[in-house]
Amino acid sequence: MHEQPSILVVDDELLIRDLLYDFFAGQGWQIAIADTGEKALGILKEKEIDLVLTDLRMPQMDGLDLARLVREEHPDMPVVIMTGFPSVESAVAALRSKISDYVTKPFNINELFRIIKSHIDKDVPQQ
Amino acid sequence: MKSNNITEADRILVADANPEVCDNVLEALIESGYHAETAANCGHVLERTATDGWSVIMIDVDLPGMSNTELLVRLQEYCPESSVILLSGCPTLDGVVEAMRHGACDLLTKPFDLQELIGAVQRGVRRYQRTINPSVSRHPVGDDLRVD
Repeated sequence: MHEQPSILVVDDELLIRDLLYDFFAGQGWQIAIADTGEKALGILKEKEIDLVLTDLRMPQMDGLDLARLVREEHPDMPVVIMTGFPSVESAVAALRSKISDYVTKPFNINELFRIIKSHIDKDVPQQ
Repeated sequence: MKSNNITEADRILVADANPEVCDNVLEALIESGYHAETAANCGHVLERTATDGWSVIMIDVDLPGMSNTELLVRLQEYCPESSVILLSGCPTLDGVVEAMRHGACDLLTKPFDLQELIGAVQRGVRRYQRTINPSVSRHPVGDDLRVD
């Protein structure tokens, strides 16, 4: 892992991408953004990423399809889902997909930060 | 029907306070060739996991004895390799997310049919096998990713 965590944010909404970029960059984190799953997969080939934070509903490739493709190359990569359309059905689908967490929009940015950090910290070897 | 050679991957623990649910699931799993046993409360689940290995542990979310989250935490500690499938008559979003955060890998909504039950158990067994033997192919993983 980098000295500072590195996350990839995937969302088709510009407002969300901008909000998350500004917040995580402000924490000193390295942040990459993508507006589609396809672009996210391209970024994962080029950059070292500690966690993927992705929207659930996106055109073409949704967040669970993206998670499946991410896992083919990075089996232990934590993937956190965000959704503005939460449902028990999609949460169960996420559970079966080994998704690390499921966050409902609108979210409290500090609560989201706590959740993301908890999953990144899990992957840090204990001293 | 599977062969009679029972391996640890075939061992399923079913925990529900309702004996009728336990009996029905037990019968279905045994018919499908699994070695299945039952537990009626959280303490019994912890006793059974302390003495034997299970590939899949099926737990009703309202199992008496401790909270569902507390039981999941204990199971993560005692048998992290086991796949935990929750059973719920009325799952809530918060409950599913909490289960996700504490290591459960699936949830079946009651009443479920035989096909759903066996499908979930098969996914759980595959996950168990990948956990204890990471060299087992992770690809394709689509069966983990679809709602049946």
